[in-house]
Amino acid sequence: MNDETLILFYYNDALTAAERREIAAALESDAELARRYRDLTRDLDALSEPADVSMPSGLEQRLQSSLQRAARLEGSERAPRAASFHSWSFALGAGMAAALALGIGIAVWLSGGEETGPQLTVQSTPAATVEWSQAAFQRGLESHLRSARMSLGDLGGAEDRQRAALVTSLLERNRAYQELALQNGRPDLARVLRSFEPMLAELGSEDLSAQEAAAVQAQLEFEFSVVLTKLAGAASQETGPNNQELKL
Amino acid sequence: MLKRTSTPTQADFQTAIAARANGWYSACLRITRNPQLAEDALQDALLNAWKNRQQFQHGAKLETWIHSIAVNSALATLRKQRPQAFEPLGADFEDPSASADESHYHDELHAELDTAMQMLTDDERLCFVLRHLEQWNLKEIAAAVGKNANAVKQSLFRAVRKLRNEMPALAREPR
Repeated sequence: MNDETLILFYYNDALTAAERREIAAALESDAELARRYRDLTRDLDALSEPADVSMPSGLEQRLQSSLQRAARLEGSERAPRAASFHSWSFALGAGMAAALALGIGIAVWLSGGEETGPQLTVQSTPAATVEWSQAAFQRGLESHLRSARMSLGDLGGAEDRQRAALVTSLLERNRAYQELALQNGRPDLARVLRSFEPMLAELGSEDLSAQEAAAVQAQLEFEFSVVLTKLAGAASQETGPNNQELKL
Repeated sequence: MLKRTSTPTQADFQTAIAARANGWYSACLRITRNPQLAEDALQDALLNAWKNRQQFQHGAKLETWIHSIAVNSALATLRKQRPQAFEPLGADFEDPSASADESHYHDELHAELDTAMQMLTDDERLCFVLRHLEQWNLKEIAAAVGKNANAVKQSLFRAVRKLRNEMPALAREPR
């Protein structure tokens, strides 16, 4: 009997009841087989309870905060005023989404990724094309951040419905760029964009006071500006696509 | 099929985070081998669990339910990543209850496991982690990694063989 069968027996998986009975009987009658099984069991048992790894500092707090924001956002989405969109606000969101899709399409087309899809551009295209693709992505991202910063400036005077539509649109675009960042081999940027999400979501929250909203808005504007500055700095240093890790 | 019951509250989630976030993070890290990806996966998992909390079923433990969502989230995160995203795991294992000798043995074992795990292919590591540590059955693993059950079985066999060969500490009992 080979080790593979003993492994399946150990896991009690992928064996019929009859096969299990047969193996159990063999283990009773064959001392050498029983010794091999004891060794296997000892080895696998030793690997069964690895100690938990220490969490990064602050992770538990970040999880608690995310949960709190999600619960808060959900509360505001359930409110009638946020749920009912006017046709113009829907059109605004749809227009922005369409513009974004068009931008992404152009970037992918320009980078030569139309045959393989954007996900493969980093690994399967020549270095020059990869740089092109990343440059196109970076320009798109810069444009997104500038436009998002401007939109934030408009939020102060916006009516509630308009505000909700703008925040929803900003969140959608931000998520789309997170995905694009990953597809362009920039998980560092994806993480930075992801960190904006709770703040954007908070801006859409109905129970946010004007003072709190202004504080979140100012923080976001600052964060967008920092990223834009870093992106501009990275581009001017011409560090190449593999060592552009964004340090924030 | 288990009967549905009251939906877990925000307080239930907060308690679960305080009690088990470390375990969820460890599970995500075992799969992704990258601390940042593990954290991202866990954040996603928690928000998904919150959004879908009405699907939580009576009889299950909230911590366990979120754990399984976290494992799936880590798998999904991993699928999106390129191989270059992997990096060695600088884990800090501790077991305060162990005696000095036992603790040394376990330190040695975990250090060897960490090294040996890096010798596994992604498929082998995933199949081992999911079967051995997460206790998924082979069919579930096959569905999750998009391979047939026989391929999963072979990956698991290779993983166990490599780990046993690469870990001398396994053959020694703790003193």
